[in-house]
Amino acid sequence: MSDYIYTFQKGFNYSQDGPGNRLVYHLSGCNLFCPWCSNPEGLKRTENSKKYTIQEISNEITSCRMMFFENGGVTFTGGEVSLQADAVSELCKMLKNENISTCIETNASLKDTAKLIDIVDYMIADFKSPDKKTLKSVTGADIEIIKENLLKRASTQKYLLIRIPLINNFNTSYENARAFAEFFKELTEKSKSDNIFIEILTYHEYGKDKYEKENLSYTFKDGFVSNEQVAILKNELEKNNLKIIKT
Amino acid sequence: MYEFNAKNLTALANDLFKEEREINNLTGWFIIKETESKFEEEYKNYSPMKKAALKFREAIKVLPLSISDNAVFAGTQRDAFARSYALINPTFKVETFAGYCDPTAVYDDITVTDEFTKERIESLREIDKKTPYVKELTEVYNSCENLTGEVAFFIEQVTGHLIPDMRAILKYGIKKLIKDIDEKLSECSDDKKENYEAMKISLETTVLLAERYKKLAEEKAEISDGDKKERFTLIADTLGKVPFEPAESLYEAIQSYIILWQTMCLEQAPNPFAFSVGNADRIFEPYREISGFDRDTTAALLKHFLVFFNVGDRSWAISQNLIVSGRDKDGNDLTNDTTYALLDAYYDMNLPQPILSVKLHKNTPDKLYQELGRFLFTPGCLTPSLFNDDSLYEVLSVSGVDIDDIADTSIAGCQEPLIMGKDNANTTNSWFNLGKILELTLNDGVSTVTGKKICDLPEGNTDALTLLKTVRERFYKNAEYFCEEMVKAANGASRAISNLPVPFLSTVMGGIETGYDVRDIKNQGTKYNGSGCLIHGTSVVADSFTAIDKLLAERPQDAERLLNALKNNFQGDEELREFLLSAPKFGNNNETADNEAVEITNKIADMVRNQKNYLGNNFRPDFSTPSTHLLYGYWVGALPCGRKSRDMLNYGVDPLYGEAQNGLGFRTLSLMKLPFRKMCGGYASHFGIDPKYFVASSYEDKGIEFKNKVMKPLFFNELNKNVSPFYLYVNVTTAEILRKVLAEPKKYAPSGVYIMRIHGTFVNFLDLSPAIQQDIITRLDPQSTAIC
Repeated sequence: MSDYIYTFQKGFNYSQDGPGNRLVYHLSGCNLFCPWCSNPEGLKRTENSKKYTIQEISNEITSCRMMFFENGGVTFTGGEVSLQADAVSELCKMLKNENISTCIETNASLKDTAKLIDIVDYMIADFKSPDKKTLKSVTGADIEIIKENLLKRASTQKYLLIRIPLINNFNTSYENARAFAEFFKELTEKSKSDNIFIEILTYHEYGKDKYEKENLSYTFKDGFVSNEQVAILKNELEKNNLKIIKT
Repeated sequence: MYEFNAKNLTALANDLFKEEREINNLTGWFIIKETESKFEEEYKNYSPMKKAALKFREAIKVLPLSISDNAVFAGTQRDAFARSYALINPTFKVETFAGYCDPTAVYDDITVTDEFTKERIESLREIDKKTPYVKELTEVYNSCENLTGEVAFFIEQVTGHLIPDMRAILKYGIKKLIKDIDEKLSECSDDKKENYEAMKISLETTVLLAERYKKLAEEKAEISDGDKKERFTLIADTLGKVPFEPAESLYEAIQSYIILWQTMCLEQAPNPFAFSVGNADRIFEPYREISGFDRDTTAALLKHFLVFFNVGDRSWAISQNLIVSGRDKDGNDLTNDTTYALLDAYYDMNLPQPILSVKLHKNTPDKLYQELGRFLFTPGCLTPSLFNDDSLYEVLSVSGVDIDDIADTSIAGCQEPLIMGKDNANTTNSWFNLGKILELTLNDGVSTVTGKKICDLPEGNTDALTLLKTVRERFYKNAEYFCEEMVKAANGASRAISNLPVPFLSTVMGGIETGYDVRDIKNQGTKYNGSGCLIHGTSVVADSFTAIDKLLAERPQDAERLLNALKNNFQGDEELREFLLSAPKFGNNNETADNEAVEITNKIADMVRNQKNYLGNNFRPDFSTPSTHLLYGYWVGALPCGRKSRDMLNYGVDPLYGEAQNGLGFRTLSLMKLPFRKMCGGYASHFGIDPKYFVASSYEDKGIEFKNKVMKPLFFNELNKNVSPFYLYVNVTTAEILRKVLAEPKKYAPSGVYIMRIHGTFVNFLDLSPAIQQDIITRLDPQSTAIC
């Protein structure tokens, strides 16, 4: 296990990365390459990454306790948090003792994600496409692992928010909508709780300017979605009594 | 009968403002002073207060008046101001600014013409130089020249900077106040007699001013027809009634208020800066209700009220403040329909003055945040100063204000909390420069900027290592010395200004109750009284102490080297500077650095608070630096925190720009540790926020997002057990946007007005000098306010 946690950004946000006011750490390195990624600076662990010992980061988080109002706490996102699953799992145990709420935001596409599933209080996971082939070819992710991780989380009955980045030319077909709904239904049944939530995030290009700085080119085109495209997915989810929220 | 039509009223308000912006020579103040000086001899046997009232009446009799074709109300502040406020002058330079020490320098601010000849101007200047006020003040400045030259401290006589309570006059009319004075006159002691007579004369002078305008309006009505005739007839009829009689409609209340305000400012010509209206929405709401006006009509009338506060080509009546919303003592929200109408008026007009302040509290309705969203997120639009009313209740009650008075808290000038009509705080009386004091402490009283010996310090020379090891002790002892010298001089300035009594102002500041002038130095004329001290440089001194500790712990052998490096502004020793810069800095939620800032703030606040003013009342610690972080920083040498000579000091209680690098949340955590409870004089803090962090699509939703991401953590954090911060101003923009505005003003500010904030006031960014424009850009300090 690594003794260190590597991050490329930190800061506070309110209610958009788990409940209440949260300290959000972006962990360096990602196993996928999604062409619309808004944090391309975090794709690789670089010399610019900040290196914390687990104790150091725990101390920093604890010293921010006053900012965790309205059931806030700490959220680990990325990059991909599961790439540092052992260290994060250790850290989350320490934070639990400090009574600090923990949350991860993950693509759930690594087997190591499972190491965090039982520990964290809140889990936010991307589910980018229900189509195995498209998912693999566009992002590199393996749908089976994602499904396995999400089902595992559902079975803990703890909070799980699934985010769908809705992107034209990627996941906006009727078939996609039906398949999304079908899998989420399965998750809800598995969970036997009210703790499964879905959020639709429409395509944006907030990270586009960063690509140049990272010597990368932004290749994705024509990703913006129409209100009609959103409505298709929304209707399908609602038809299946799935809980859609907006954070 | 003139009909109030929102659209027509708005068009007139816009034309009125345009007309005002074309005026570039202000001469009314000169006529007032000249007339008053002519009558000095005639009234010389009266008491100073009565003499002042009589001379002022003579001035009002002859002051040239006019009413614009676009006016809906009569009255202007134009004749009360000189063009002497340096910071909004594009030619202003930090390097040559010497403070406002010479009260006769104002005569340079008038353009020589055939009417105002050089001889006429100089002759009045010479007369003015011989007045007791100017002579005493000059003596005070001379007595502390050594210490103010490189600004270990600065002092000034305070004009303006008060919040009158006009509500009684609006409600009962001047006639009721005159009746009250007559009653007092029949029973008061001899020493108050002439004071009451003076107040009565000044109220009659107000009526005289109204009558003169009434006559002008009648003349204009005579030569006009249609709608315009009706408008001037309305003005004339109204001035036949108010302010002598009670106001019975919104229109009458505004007209009455304008005449009262004008009188108050004319009485303090040429520099009635930073008077404030107070809780404007509460003042006017009862009259709106009687008139039954809807939001649009109310807003349209209030647009004229706002235009009134803009004087000349750069809106010279700077730092006049108007506050809305807030709570009562039980925590009930006091937002009303006039609050929202005022916001509409502000947003539509987007004027450089008056400043808008908003009191928020934990029960503030979301609707108010929604309505504020447009101000925060429209580029080039004014943004309100934000106050935490819950904290103000705590801070002011600890400082001795009666709980029943606190709902009337409003803001004088930039951010100083005062009670409407009851509080004479002499807010900008003294200015304390901790950065300079540390520099002198480390160099045996010799300036490292100029090499000049400034003074012999109580804690003078010793060897370098001992000096650094005992730096805190020495610094605080020396600070005590400077503080006492500052207070002596500041009280001297207050005594000097008492030679210019203000009988009209006294009538709206509790003078009718007490029988004394607001400025009286022997008897307290207002319920609350104090003197302000603006404290500069807490963060740079705190960071310097932390850096010195690091040096002593890791390389004590470099003690001497540090002192030499400071003398040389780190020239040739960049390595040492890098080492010092690597020490923890305030603003990052670092315990060591933050504790140091807390300790300094506590100690200096106590030191200042324990000082007594001319009436024996305490000074009020005010941790704000209205552009003086630049002006005074220019006189501070290199400091152990790594800050270079002549660079700016930290702004208000904020970290020095560039030192808080962990984003808004961490900076907020550091801020929340400071002892706001002790900051009864106020404080300043600024966040430059990048709009990209706010993703909601409408202004209303962005307003809520702003509440959640910025205001809630800072002001209304349920986990903060200390007194929460109570002031913030923001600029929601980026350096890149501002550079574009400067490069292509016609494209980004077609109206010629692009409002930004510097400290508590808003300014037209395009009117500023390059140094001040650069300061705004530098202090956006994006790393310190990043949101994840």
